[in-house]
Amino acid sequence: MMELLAPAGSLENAYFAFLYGADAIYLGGQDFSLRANAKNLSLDEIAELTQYAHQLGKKVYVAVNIVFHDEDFAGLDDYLISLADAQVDAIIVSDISVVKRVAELKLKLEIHLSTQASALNSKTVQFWQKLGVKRIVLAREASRENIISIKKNTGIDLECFIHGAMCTSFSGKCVLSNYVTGRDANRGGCAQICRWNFKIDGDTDLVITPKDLNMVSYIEDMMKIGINSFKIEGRMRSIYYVATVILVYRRLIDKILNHTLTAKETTYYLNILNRCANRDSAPQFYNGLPSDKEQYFNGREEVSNQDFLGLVLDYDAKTSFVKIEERNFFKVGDTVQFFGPETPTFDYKIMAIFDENMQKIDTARHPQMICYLKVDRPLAKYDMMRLKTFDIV
Amino acid sequence: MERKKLVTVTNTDIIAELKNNQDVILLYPLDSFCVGYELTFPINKIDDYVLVNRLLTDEDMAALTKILAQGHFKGIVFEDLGLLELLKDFKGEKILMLNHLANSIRSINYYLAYVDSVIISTDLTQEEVINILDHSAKKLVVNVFGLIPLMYSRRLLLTNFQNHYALPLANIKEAQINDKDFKIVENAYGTVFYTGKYFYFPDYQKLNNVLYDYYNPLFLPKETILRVIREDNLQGIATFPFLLNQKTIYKLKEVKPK
Repeated sequence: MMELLAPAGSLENAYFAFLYGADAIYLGGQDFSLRANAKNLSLDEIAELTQYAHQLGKKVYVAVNIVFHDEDFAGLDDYLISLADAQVDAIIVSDISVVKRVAELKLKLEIHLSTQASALNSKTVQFWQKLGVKRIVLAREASRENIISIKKNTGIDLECFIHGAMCTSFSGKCVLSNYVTGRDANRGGCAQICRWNFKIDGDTDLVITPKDLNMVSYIEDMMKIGINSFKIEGRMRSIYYVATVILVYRRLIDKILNHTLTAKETTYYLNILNRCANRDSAPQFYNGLPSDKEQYFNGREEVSNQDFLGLVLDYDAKTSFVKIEERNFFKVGDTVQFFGPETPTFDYKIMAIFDENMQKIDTARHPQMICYLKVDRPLAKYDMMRLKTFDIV
Repeated sequence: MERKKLVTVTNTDIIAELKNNQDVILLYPLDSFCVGYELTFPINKIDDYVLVNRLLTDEDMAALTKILAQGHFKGIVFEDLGLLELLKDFKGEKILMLNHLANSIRSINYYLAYVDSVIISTDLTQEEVINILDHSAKKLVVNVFGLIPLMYSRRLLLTNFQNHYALPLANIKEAQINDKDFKIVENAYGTVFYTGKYFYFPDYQKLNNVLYDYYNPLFLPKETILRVIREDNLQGIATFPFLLNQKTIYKLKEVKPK
C-alpha cells in the first residue's frame, strides 16, 4: 500500500484533494484538532465525506491531536463515538489519554500517532504499538537511516511528511506561542512565533524560520524504503494549493511506478511546487542536519500567490466555450495554463473574454465573476486556469 | 518532614555544597544525551540522578544502553518514551519529563503506570496543577524554580545564524521579541529556547502529593543557587509565574474585542 495523503481544512478542499489524486485526506473537526482556526468540518460533514471517500475506495483520517488539559475532555467520548459511527478510517492522536480512551470505550477506531508525539526511534514506536497504534507519523526530523531502522525493527505503517511548512521545533515541543501571545500551540492556537524576528545582540534580527519541506527529489527513494503514506502539510491552504501539490505528487508517484519519470519533469515539478507555495523548499532532515541553506535569514514577506486565475465550471464541447469562475485578475493577451486531474496541462493565449451575457470584455477583475473563454481543447469541470510561469515539459 | 528538592546541576560549584544534603537530589545532565545544558557529565561522574532530555534515534538508543550499563546512578529523569523499554529492569527511580505533552490528570495517570513519577508541565495554571496533584495515582514532581524550556529544535539555530553572517560562534545567546526575553542554548544535538526570566511557583509549599520540588537554576552563580534552594530567597532574581495565573487560549474567537 502506498498512499498520497492530502490536507483538508474544509469540505471543499477535501473534494478537490480527492479529485486531484489523493488516496486519503486528513482533517480536523470543530474541536480537539491542532488547526483550531481552520474552517474544519462538522460531524455531519465528516460522515458525509467519509461515505463519499469510501465510494471512491479512498480514506478519511480525523485529527484528534491536541494535547488535552483537564477541561478539554468534555465531549470527547461522544465525539469519538460519533467518529467511529461515521466509520472514519483512523484518528490521528498525540495524547495518550485519547489512545487509552478509544480502548476503554471499545471503539472500532484505528489510531495513528501524530507527528506531535515526535517518535524518532523503534522503542518509542513499540511503546505506542503495544497500546494499539497502527501507524506512526514520524517526527519530521527523522532521517533516511532513522526511517529504515524503525521500519525494519517494528514493521509498523509509517507516514512521512513530504511537502509543506515545517516547524522550527520538534513538533509538540514548543510553547513559544504560549509565552509570547498566550495562544496555546499544543491546542491549536499556534501563533507561529518561529516565523517572527527575534532581536539578538542588540538590534540584529535572528530569524529561525525553516524553508518548507519538499521531497520531490527523494520521493522515489522514500517509496523504496517502505514508507506507506506520503503526507502533504497544509490544512489552512487554498484549493489551488491543494490541487496543484496533490496533482504534482500524484503524477510524480505514478510516473515513478511506471518508470517514465524524466529529470526534466522532476525539475518542472519542483518549479511548479515552489511557485505555488511562494516559498523556498528543501528536503530538510532526510539526508542530514539542515544547515543555514535550509533556513531563511532575512525577513521575508508572505506575498499571496495570485497565479490561480479561474476555476472551470463547465465546458461546452459543441461551442468550445468554457465557463470560468474568476479567482484573480486576467486580461486579453495573457498567456495562461489549464490543468486538471484528467486534463494534460496546456498553454492558452486569451484572445477574448466574454461576460455572463456573452458580451466581450477586456479584463476579468472581480473575484468569483463568471466569464467565458473559447478554448479548442476539451476541459472538465473543476479544472483550473493559472498564470503561465513555466514552459510545460 | 520537608520534601526533597530535585536540582539540576547547572554549576559544578554547587555539587560539593549539596552532595551530602539529605534534602537534595542532584540531577546531572548526561554527556551527549541532553540539550539545553552547557554543563554535562560523563556517566562515571554521576552518583545521584541522571538527566536524559533528548529525543533519541535507534543509534542513540544503542549508545545510551551501553553508557547507562556502566553507571551507578540512583534515578533517572527522561523525556523519550523509548527509554521505558530500555529501563525496564532498572531498579532506581524513573521520572518522566514530557515537556508540554502531558497536561492532564488522565494522561499523567496513564504514564504513571510505567514510571515512578512525572514532572508536571509548566504549561498549566495553578488551578490545573492543584487538580492534577489532587487526583494523581502517585506523587508528582513540581517545577518550583528555574528557566523554562520553551522550544526544542533539532536544528543548530545559532550555528546556522552565525555561519550565515560569518559571525564568531557562540552557543549561548540572549534574544527578545517585544517585551519577552529568551535565553538560547545550543549544542551538537539541538537548540533550546528558554524563558529569559526565572519561573517561580509562589505557593509551592502548600501543594500536596508532591514527590520532589524541581529546580532548574541555569546561568546562576553558586551563591545564588544555594540561597534559592536553602532559603527560598529570590532577592535580585527576576522571576515570573509563567502561565500559573494565565489561561491560554487557542481559538481566535476566544479573543474578545475590547
